[in-house]
Amino acid sequence: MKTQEQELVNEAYEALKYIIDPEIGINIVDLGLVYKVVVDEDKEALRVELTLTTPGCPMSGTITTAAEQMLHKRFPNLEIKVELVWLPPWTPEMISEEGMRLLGNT
Amino acid sequence: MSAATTSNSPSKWLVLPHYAFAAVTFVVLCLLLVFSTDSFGGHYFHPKLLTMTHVAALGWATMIIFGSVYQLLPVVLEVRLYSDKLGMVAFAMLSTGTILLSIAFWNFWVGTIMHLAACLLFVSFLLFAYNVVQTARQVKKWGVEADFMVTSVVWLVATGLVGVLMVFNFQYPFLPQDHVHYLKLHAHLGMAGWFLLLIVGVGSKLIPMFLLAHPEDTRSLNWSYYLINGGLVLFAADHLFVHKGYYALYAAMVVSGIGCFLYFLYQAKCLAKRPDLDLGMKQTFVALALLVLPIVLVFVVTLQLGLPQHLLSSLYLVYGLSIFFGFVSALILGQTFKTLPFIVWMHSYEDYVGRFKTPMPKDLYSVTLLRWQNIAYIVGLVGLLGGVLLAEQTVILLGAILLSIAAVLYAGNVFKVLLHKVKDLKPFGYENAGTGARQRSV
Repeated sequence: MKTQEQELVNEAYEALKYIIDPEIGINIVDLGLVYKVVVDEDKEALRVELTLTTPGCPMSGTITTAAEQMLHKRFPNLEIKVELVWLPPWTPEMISEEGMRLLGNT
Repeated sequence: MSAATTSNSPSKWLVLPHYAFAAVTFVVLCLLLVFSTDSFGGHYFHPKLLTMTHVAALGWATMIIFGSVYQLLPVVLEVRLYSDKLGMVAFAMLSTGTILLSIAFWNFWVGTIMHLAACLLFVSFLLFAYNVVQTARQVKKWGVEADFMVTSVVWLVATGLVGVLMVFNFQYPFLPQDHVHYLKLHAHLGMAGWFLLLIVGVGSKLIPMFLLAHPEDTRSLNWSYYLINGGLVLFAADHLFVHKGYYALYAAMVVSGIGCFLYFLYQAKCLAKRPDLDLGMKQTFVALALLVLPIVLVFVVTLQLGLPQHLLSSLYLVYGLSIFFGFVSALILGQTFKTLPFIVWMHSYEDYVGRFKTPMPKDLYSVTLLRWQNIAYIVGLVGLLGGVLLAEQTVILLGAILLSIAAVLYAGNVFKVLLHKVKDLKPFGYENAGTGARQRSV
């Protein structure tokens, strides 16, 4: 990945860290809900794949909209595409080290 | 990767009225307790005790369970609720039926009002059961949780049917045996068939979810399902047809089923990635610990152990109270603040996320009120149970007053959440968010 694209992806992850799961209280990146952030080859669109802790979670629309709004605000010149996916199914092992620390695990 | 669907949540106008009605009912129930301390001196077949039992079972527990199930069924089964409208009609019938039945029992009017109330309640159960079954029929991935939930509504309908027959039997006697015989059947089908199975079904999904644990081994839940239902079917068959009286065996099967469920939760607790429990979850574990009391007492009242009659009468009362005022109420008092703020938050802020700084669901209720509610509840419960066991009206009264305080605090907190208004939201901006903003929902 080119350096400029990687910077965009990193910035997108940083922007998504402002979205907090309302039940668990930590951000969706450290919770392991963001599976993929990709910049299109022509650098006109940003594609995000994210999931939820359980497929029946009523937060699906809310978190997807939040991700779109946050990224649109951060990258006003890019088209933002956020897709909710269920595979692979989320497991607690996907929580990052920082996420574990935020949850109170030492 | 496969694309996901949108939220399956039902309308808030279906779910929230159940919480409001249940909160008011809990206050009424505790106040009835304050004015009924004299009714705990004898047999449980007493108008005031029958009133309070039905207020607790229908207006408080069943009401909030109906509301929660409409919200949680799509979460557990991963499909949309079959019909919001059916749910609203069931709510109207359940609330009207509960009020009429309570008035009829309090005054022991066994005529038209009681008949009407029983019919309304039974139809509300049928509508609820139809809604749950039709919802479950859409399920693509059937799990043991679905078994628990669907079977629980079958027992609810059975409980309601026995109740309707008993109500008509008051005025037009046609049942071959006395009322107390059928009352035992009615009560146990309701407690173990309806409440217990539903709580196990929902709890086995939600508690690990709240703990951030994914126990994959569900064998203990399968054992739980067959042991509880096996015990209940044998109990009902014995009670109605065979009359062998092996009640301790059936109780042992149900208790073993509870044990399997608790073992499943223990496994989940061991896998939990969320070590810090909030007050709602702490109260939930208090409720599970309170299960010990009815588990022990069911054997004592079944085997009788040569205890004197007056002590047995008290133990029967403590047994019933430990289920409704103990396990079931403790669980509702805790789980309300795990589910209700989240539901209200979702409906209030879903249009603002990503654009404005919004509060978190836990900011919608008062933690201080919840803490005092839990303290007043547990001390009040100990007072009530101790007072009934010792036949001390003053102690019962003190317990009832403390439970009333807990109920008022609970209702105050519930209405604080229900009446929450969105106001003064500040637009979100990266330039003024700072790192601290990452712990706020946006």
